Parts: sequence; C-alpha cells; structure tokens
Amino acid sequence: MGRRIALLGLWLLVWAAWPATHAHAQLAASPDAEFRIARLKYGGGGDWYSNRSSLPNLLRAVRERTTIKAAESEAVVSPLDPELSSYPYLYATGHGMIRFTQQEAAALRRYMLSGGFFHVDDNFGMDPHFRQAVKTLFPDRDLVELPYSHEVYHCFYQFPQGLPKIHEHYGGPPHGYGILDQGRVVLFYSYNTDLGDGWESPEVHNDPPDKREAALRMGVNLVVYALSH
Amino acid sequence: MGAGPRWGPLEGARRAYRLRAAPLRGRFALCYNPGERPNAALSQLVRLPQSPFILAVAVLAALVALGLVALSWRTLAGLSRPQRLALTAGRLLLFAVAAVGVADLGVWRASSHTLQPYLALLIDASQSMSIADEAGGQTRLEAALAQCQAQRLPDQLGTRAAGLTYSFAEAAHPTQNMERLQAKGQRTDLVAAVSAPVEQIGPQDLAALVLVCDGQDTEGASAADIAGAAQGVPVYTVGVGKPERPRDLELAQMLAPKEVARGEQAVIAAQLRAYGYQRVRTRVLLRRGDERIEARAAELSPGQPARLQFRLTPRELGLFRYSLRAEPLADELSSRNNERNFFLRVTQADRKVLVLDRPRQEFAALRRALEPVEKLSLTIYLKKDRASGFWREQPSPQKDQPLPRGDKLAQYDAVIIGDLASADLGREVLAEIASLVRSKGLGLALLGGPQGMGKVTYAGTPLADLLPFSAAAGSYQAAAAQARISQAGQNHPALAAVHGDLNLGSLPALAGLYALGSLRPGAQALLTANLPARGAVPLVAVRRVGSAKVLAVATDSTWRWVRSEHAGEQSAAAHAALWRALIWWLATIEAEHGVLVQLDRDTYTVGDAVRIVVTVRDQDFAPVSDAQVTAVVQRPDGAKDQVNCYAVPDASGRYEGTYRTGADGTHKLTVKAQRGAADLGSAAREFAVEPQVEEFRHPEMNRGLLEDVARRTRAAYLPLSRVAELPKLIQPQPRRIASAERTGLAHTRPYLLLFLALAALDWGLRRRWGVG
Repeated sequence: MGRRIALLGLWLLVWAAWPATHAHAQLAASPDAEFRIARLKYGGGGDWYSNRSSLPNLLRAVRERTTIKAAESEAVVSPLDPELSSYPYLYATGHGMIRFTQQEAAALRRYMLSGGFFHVDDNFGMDPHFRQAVKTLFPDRDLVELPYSHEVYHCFYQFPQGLPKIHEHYGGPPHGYGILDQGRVVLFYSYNTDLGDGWESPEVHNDPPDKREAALRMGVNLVVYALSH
Repeated sequence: MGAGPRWGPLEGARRAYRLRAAPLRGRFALCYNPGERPNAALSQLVRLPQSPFILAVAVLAALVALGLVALSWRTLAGLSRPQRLALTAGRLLLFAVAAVGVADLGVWRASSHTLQPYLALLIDASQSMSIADEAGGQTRLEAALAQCQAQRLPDQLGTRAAGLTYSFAEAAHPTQNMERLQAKGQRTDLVAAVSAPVEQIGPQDLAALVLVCDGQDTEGASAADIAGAAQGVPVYTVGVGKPERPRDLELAQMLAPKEVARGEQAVIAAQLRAYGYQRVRTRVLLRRGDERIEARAAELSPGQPARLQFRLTPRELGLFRYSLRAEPLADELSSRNNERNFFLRVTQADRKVLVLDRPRQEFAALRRALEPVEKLSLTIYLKKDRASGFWREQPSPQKDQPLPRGDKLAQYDAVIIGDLASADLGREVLAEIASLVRSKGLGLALLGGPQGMGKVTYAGTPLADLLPFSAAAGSYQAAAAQARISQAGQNHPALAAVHGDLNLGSLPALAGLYALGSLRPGAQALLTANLPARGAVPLVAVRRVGSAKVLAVATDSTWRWVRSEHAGEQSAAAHAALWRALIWWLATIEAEHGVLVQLDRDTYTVGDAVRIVVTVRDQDFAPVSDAQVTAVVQRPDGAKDQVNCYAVPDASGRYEGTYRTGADGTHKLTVKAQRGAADLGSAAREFAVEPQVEEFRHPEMNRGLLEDVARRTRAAYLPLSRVAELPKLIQPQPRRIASAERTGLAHTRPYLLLFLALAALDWGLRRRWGVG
C-alpha cells in the first residue's frame, strides 16, 4: 500500500513538474536575440587583439545594466569573414598600423551601410594610420566630430561634455568622430581617450574606478545606439 | 427582283426622283420594275432590257407565242383561212395581254404638290430665365410666355403641327404645354437647342427658327457655333431680360482644396464683386451644413473686388459640404450667385505609429525601414533598462517617459509592440490598447522576440484574444527558415501592391521562428516559413478585429535580409518594402470588407455620371466573379436609387455601374455583394454633387450674342417687346414638291376589260364557227 502511495506521489510529482519543464522550453530564445560584439582582425600589423579583457567586461555591463541580452564573450572576425554581417557591433582597436585592402574596404563599407555599426577606438598610435585607412573605406566622406548633443552621448547615460577622458595619450580633450549615413552614425572613432583601456579589468591598468565606470558607460551608450538605429 | 436598276442608270429612289421629276411632269412613262422610277424618255424604253434574265424571259415569251400560233393554226384546221387567222390573232393578243399582267408592267404619271415649311419656336427654360428683371417684376420666362401667348406667336408664325415648339436648357425637347414651362434647367446649351429641330425636321423643311432666350450659354458656345448648328436655317433671336448688368453682388471666385488631412489647415480664398452699387458692406459666412464656421466682413467699391480668406482645421474624417455665402444687398436682383458650395474630403493625416520595443537588431532594422516613409510618423519608446521606465526617442532620447495614455494614445493609428514582456507595458496600458483596437480600429502589431513572444507573458492579458494565433507565445524553433508568401498573402490588400516585387525565395533564410500554434478563425497567414519537422508554419499572420487590424510576426530575424552573409541590395529592398506595406496597411483606417467600392472622383456636378467600380473578394481575398452586386444611392432628401452593377469581362471580381446625378448634396452609396445566399460583404462611401451655378454667373441678357447669331444666319434680332413683328419678318414660302405615281397595268379596269373582251371574243367566235 505504502509502495503504491509512493508511486502515485512520484507520478503526481512528475505530472506537476512537466508543465514547468514545458514552459521552460518556451523560454528558449532565438540566437538573434543575443548581442555579441565582433572584434575586427584587421591587416597592417597593428595589435588588433589588445585590451583582451575589455569586451567581455563591456558585454557584462551591457547585460547587467540594459535590457540587451548580451553574450559573455566577443567574436573575432576579419573584414572578409562572411560572419561579419551577423554582428551589429564591430570593434577595432590597436596601437599602430591599420590597413584595408579595397576588397576589405568594400566589405566593411557594405556592412556599415546595411545597418552595421563600426567602432574604432584609438589605443594610442593608431590615429594617423586609421585616418589614412578611413579614406579607403569612404573616399567621398569625411570624419566629422559629433557634437556633444549627439545621441551617442545621451541615449543611455548622459555625457554633456562628450567623450569621457580615460587615458592621457596625446594631451588635450578626447574627440568623438563619426561617419554618417542618412543621419545614422555608421562609424564611430573615439580618439585620445582609449575607451578600451577603461573597459579592461581593474588590475590591467589600475585605472581609477570612476574612469573605468565612465568608459563602460560610454561603451553602453555606443551599444544602445547601435541597436536602436 | 434585284435591288439594282433595271431601266437605266438609276442611283436610288431619292436621287432619281430629283433628276427626273422635271422631264416627267405631265407625261406618262412605261416601266417594268415596280420598285423603280422610270426614265424620262420613252425612246429609252425600247432598248432598255439589259438584264440577261429579262432577255431570256422575253425570248421565252416569244417562243411560247410562236408555239401558241402553231398549235392554234393546227387545231383550227376545219375552218376557213380567214377564220383561222382571226382566232389565232385573237389568241396571240390574249397571250400578250396576259404576259403584260404577269410581268406587272405599269405606267408612271408625273405630278407635283406644295409643302408647307416648318417653323420652330425655341423657348429658353434654363434657371437664368427665373431672373425677375422684366416689366412688372416678371421673370424672364413669365414675360416670354406671356408675350408669345398674347401675340399667338405659334399660330401667327404659321406653324402647322404640334411639336414645333421646343423648350430648351441642357437640351431641347418638343413641348405642347408652353404655359407649363418652368425655368429649372441647370445649364444652357444653345448649340444643342438649335440642333434639335434642325436634325429632327431637316434643314430643307425648316423655314426658320425663333430663339427666345437671354443669350446666356453656359457651355461657352460662340455665335459661329450656334449659327453652324442651324445648317443654313435662319435663326430669329428674341432677347429676354435686360442687357445691362443689374445691381448684383457676386461671389465671383472661390478656391478651395478638395482634400485636406485631418488636423491640417485648409485655406479657402474667395473674391466678391458688386455691380451697380457704390461703397457697400456685407458679410460672408462659411458654413458646414447648418453649422456656422466663420463670418467675415467685406467692403466693396465699384470695380474693386473684395478678397477674403477663410481657414478651417477639420477634425473629423469624411466628406463634408461647406458653403460660402455673402449676405444679399438691398435691391439685389438675384442672390443666387451670392453663394458657392464646395465639398472637402478630410482624410487621414500622417499615419501615426507608436513603436514600443527595446534596443535590438530587429528593431534597428525596422526603424531604418520605416523612418524614411513619408506620411508615416513614428513615435518610439524604448525599454532600455529594467530599473527605469521607457525612453522616448524623439526628438532626443528622454529617460523615464510615461507611455501615451488616454487621448494621447488614441491619436495613434497603430501600435507596434516589439520584444517586451507584458509587465514592461503594464496591464492598464495593455487594456487601453485592446480597448482602442476594438473601439477605434487601432492597428496592433506584436513582433517576435524572446521577452514577449518567447515567454508566456501575454497569455491572459487583454491583448491575447486579439492576436491571430491561438497562443500568444511559443517555443523558438531554431532552423534556417525560408519565408514564402502564401496564396492569401498574394491576394491580401496589405501585400497586393508589393508581393510581385518581394521575391521572398531569393532572400536569406531566417534564423528561426516562434511556433505560436494554430491560426484563429478569420486569421490569415500572409507569409509562411518551412520548418524541417513541421512543414509550413505561419510567419506573418493578420486578423481583423472589428474595424481594426492585428498583425503578428513570429520571428526576430528579418534583419538578416538586410545585413547577413547572403543579404544584398535586393533583399534589403524587400525587407523595407515588406515592413512598409505591412505597417502602412496596419495604420490605415479604412473599412475593408470583401467588397471595395471606388468612384472615378469624389465630387460631381448635377447631371454628371458617377462611375461606380466594385471589387469583390472572398474571405481569402480571392476575386469573386459570380457575385450579385447591388448598389444603392441615397440622395440628400433620403430617396434611394438602385444602380445595376455588371461584372466586367476579363476583370476578375470587378463590377461596374453608372449613376446619373440629379440633385445636389452629399450622396451615400452602399454596395452589397452576395453569392447565392452567402453574404460577401458590403461597402459604403459618399460622394458630393455640386449644383450648377453657372446660370447665374452673368445675370444680364447677352444681346451681342443674339444679334450676332441672327446676323450670321441672315435673320433678325428683336427684343421681347417687339415680338409681334416676327410674323411680318418671317415669310415662309411653301415648297413645291414634284412626284411621280406608278400604276400597274394589270390593276387597271381597261386592262381587265380588254382581257375579258378578248377571252369572250375567242369563246364567241369558236362557238359561232363550231369549234370545240
């Protein structure tokens, strides 16, 4: 008798648990719902791989602070990688040379004009090379400095003075440049601030918490902007 | 006999008659063919048999005659030679007389008689003849009729048959009750008026036309046009009314838009003129139906028109009749030209769409597709973080903005709910949205995403019952899914304009979709996608809820058509076209049944034909070609007219009918379609009919035109007061008509007597001489 009662109880337990299991299955999300940043493995010899802990930290901040379901780690793509177009946010950083072949430039240009967002973050020493490379990307367009009133500085956190200064490289204030297509920023170039440094884990550069926080906040803004425009 | 001439080169009865009547007068001619007229000269008759048939008959008759002579000679062998000769000659003569009868030879007799020519009296019965500027305050028509009757004009002019008095306005019609005429014609067409008797009687039989009118032609005809229509018949013109412009206030010009978007300003410009007054003041009122909208004062000086502008901002959708009326001045002859009406269709303004979503790829792609669309106004609220409320994105991102509620929410034509949990919106907002969907026809779209469609958060909410799917949430099926347009989608109005260009088969595959269960009754899948284990499942589904439209998109991967490995310009264009079509359809407030009715325009003038085009589709939006379509037009006075609508060959599901407008005002058209006993739906729309006011544009009598017409037709112009002189001026000459009458010989008494006499003679001689 006791055995029967035990079996019945087990069956009831399974029966009661099944809808929950089924409901859980419904929670399975589309892979398209997951946001992942792609790091650009560019040519020219520059250290595209620098600031290794930066993007996971930024993704964590995005995940924790916004409604964006961000992945834990970044992807790495080259300009001609077919997977490039699957990522809404493409990130490039480094200290030196960056160069695009015509084919690569065409692929990147197509990526940006079809809705992708390309963030280039000067990690000190990249500026002259990138300014050269951007002419390959958009021969007919110029980088323009975005005003402090632009949405990228206000779409989540407020940056009334524009880009935050994270690292002192060249001296002077930081600058946020953009290339726009139909009013949308398709390429954002952060210069003389080194956001990636600020996104790194605290022990890497020993940045003060407020600098790291400012960098992460600006990063969150850029991600929110990319996914809402 | 054949139709061709037998006796000479006749070219038809009428022409032959004219050519040969004169030579025949008072003489006789012999002819053969009873259907034709004779040649003039008898000498021609001798050599006339021209047809081989006639020749053969003649030869045959001669042979028969010879045979008859031979037979007779032999059978009379017992008689003397003189007796045989006499009997044979008599029988030959009898045969000849019988042959004449069989051949129906006849005689023509030429004669002539006189014909009394016709005179047509044409009396203007258009509205301008109601202007009372004749002596004693009579209207023009009253004065014209009084004069015509006092002078017994029809009798005096010598008209000899009923139907020669015409009344005219837009057209001319014979009238027998001149005294009952009323000045109601909405237009005056003098060319049509003059043409009618000329064409009915013929110019050769018309001695003259008498045109009694005020000389105002609303069709813009010149004196040359009118004189040309008379085809050489003299047109005596009798002017009614005063040639000087009377004291009058005229709303000379008005410019008003035919259509304005709801909430936008319409400007109506008007120009007011006064004649015969010094400085005067009046007021001009703008009304919609009986409702007074605005009044403006106007001051007028001689030769100086007053220009006025009115502005109105309509708030209701529909077709409305407005009137602009200047208050009449003292002693003004007619106030009919003080007013002008116009119809204004108030249409939906920019489609206002509220987008509620969160930052994500699918939203960004949707925004890029929709923002460039003109007349589609997006208001975007994004849920960017869990801790705070929504961000309103325009004009610049603002944190913690309350979602539109109440009247603000009601201003939108459609709401798009992206990937949000129901809790993000709150039950009250959802209840308001659901209420507006049901009551106001607010369009609703629910888009795929893990937070909304991927969870069960909308089950049990007020939105759940509105969706096209049986479930508000479903498990995500991750698989390369190729979107396809369904048969219903091809016929559906949402995609009708774009499905031919979408070419969905060439688009990159979607990453997967949410399985939302079966479609609810009445819902339709416009797009489907194939899943490996489940086959075709609905991807984009729509459903009507009352007048509202509800759309569900069971994926969050359409951005892959814009930016993915296999995406290109074509697929990006398809993405934009699909979303634009879907959201435009969703946000368009329009009754959309199985029946769609279209008119060739919105506004007509009295007398115009309204072309009604009806398209009938069944529940699957497939064209229906075997429907019974009934159209009913309700006039402004409430009376109803039925209009027959017929299926258009080779135009599947299309029916057409025509309605002739008779009264001014707003007309309501209702169209119903049935197939057997099944009701396929109905549609209704309004159209406006404007009155003809051209009759009063120029209230003075146009003496110059009437004089010119008379001069060009070699007739004379007379004012109405001198109409008694007309009989002296018009002296119609009787016309002499020559004719020829035919009498068949066989039908004459002498012929019969001759035949009987010959037969009796033969019988008598044979009896006397003892021949059997």
